[in-house]
Amino acid sequence: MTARKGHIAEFPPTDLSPAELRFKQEVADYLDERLPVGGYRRSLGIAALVDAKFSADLGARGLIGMYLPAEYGGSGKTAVDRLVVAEELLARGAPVGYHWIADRQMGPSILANGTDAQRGEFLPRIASGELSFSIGMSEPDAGSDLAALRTKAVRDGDDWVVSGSKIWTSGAATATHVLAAVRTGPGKRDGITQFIIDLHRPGVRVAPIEFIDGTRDFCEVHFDDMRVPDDCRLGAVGQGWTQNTGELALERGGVDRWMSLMPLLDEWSGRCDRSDRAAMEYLSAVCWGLRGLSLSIARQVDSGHSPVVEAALVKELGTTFEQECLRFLSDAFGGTPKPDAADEYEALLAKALLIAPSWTIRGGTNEVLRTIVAKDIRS
Amino acid sequence: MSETTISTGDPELVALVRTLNQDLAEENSPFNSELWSAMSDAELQLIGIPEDDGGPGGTLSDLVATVFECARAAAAIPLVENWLAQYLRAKAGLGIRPGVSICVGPAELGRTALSIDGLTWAPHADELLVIEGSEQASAVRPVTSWIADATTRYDLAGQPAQDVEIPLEGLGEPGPVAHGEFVTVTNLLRAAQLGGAIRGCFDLTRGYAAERHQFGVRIDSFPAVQQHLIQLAQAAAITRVSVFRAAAATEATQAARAARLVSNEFARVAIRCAHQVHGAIGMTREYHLASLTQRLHWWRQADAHLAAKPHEGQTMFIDDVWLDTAEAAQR
Repeated sequence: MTARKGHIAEFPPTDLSPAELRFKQEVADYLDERLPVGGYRRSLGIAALVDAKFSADLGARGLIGMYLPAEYGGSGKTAVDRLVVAEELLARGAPVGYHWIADRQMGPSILANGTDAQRGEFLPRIASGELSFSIGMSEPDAGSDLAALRTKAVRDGDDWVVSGSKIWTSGAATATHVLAAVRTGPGKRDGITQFIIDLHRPGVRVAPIEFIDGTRDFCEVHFDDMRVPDDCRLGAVGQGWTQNTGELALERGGVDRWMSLMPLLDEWSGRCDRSDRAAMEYLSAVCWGLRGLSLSIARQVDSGHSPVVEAALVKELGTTFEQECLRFLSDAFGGTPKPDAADEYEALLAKALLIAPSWTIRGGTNEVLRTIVAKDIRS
Repeated sequence: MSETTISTGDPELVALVRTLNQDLAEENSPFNSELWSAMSDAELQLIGIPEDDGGPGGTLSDLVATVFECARAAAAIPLVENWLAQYLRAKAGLGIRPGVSICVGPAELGRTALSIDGLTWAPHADELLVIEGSEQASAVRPVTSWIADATTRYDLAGQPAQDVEIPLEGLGEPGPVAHGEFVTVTNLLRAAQLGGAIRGCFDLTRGYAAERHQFGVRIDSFPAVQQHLIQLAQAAAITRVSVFRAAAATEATQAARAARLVSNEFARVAIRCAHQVHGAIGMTREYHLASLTQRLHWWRQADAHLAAKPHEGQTMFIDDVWLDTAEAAQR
């Protein structure tokens, strides 16, 4: 993958082809049936409910791991195709929690960096929606400064002994695996290695943390001198940092970074009165603009580039915009939404108010993203 | 070019427009007559008007790119105003005409003369094109003689303007105008101007922050300053991608309106951030920033009456966020 040599303010504009539009319609038709309006609990973007059955159904439909080659359970589809599916899922607030991370970044990473055995073992089961991955990166003393991580792996024969703790690991309590970044050497960056760790093996404990909205998706993951075979190692020793960076364009530049409130915006848009109409139009227009940027990033990825800076720019803009959307929605609601309201819109609005600050924090804080963009602007 | 690549204008054309703007740049001149002549000689000011209508042809993307680049350079020319008038003439079957034509209205024509306070570009107009109608434009009527106040005024962007009085008996025969199309193309071109000037602000500010030293370092070393540069980059990125996508979606009036709304909003951000980084020097007439930000202010508000009340089918709802050129082409 090459970095795209271009100007940060010049994202190549693009739109879907007729074939991509037909694919979008197929996905929409399937989801209309599988998730009938009122027939499921809506989620807010990627902080979504974990529903292993839904993930399995999507997998059976071929909508997870689509970019994988057919031999691994995919259909060789593109990043743009994945964006199309993501839009349809997130617009509906679909329960994508179980497979999202596996699909978004573990699949591509294992495809790029894994051994044939690893690809054979993990990729088909990611594509089928059977596996659920969590991201084992942050630690109590290593958040934005990820290279300061201390969880270590020491070689012992054919195994590694892993010890240390990860924190803020979303989904670890329901996941099958964690992709852990651990220290295998002294170099700040070249001493980090990734391991695919089975969370059901002995030696690892997952402790849920109660989030501000009462959910327990956030976790601590403790490795108590856990013995893992060397064939769990993803990529070469010391390559963890580089591999992780490669995932960033995918993780950060997508529509998931500005679609958290889409189900609420959609519902509000349908029933807002004349006084809210100008606000609704403005928010819709900016969503449309952000979509143009996300589409461009996906297209750039498909062209073999690694638009990491572009992704950082869009994530920072998108997540900030989500806060603005929430302000309009909450002003329009008036009064105090109840978290346990029977009306799902109200309950989701209450939840959104509480968890919104996490959108500008997770997956790279806006401060870190700004640092990345600023470096590019100054160069 | 693949079926999914959206044009950002013919590269040679874009290069030519850039070169003309660079070579013929004039600071603090209300009307850059040399640039206007050079562009007119090359028929660049009418790009996008079909050959069948007497224009030089070229796509809407070519027009948007031309407008974008001229705005980026804060060119003091009546590019969009003249283009809109010539476009309406062509659509009304009146054909294009040499020189500068400027739209007036939409306005309801009463029994007395039509008076316009501070009509921008009037001092350089060869013709005024009166758009008849109140909420909706219904007809266009050219006029070649009117009474102009002797004093040249200057609008918010420093563009030349005049108070004019148009006698109603001087109005030409009406030609039809499609209100929807007029609004769409106006929104699109204003969005292109805003996008171009936002880019101009980003380029200028980025350069300034790299050159200007305080406390022994470039001022772009400070995260607090970087914050503004980042917002400028974001503003430039989202407006540019929006305006070219909207140009490709010629059937989709919602896209043009969305591009306008996006550009209006991010123009505010760009003005604030560019001025903040520049400090005092940016507040002078002499320094180039004012040429850009004053235009951003004016273009943001220009034709606001058209944007204020979206007509049928123009409002973008959340559903329409997925609006797409290929989809639009199928409609």
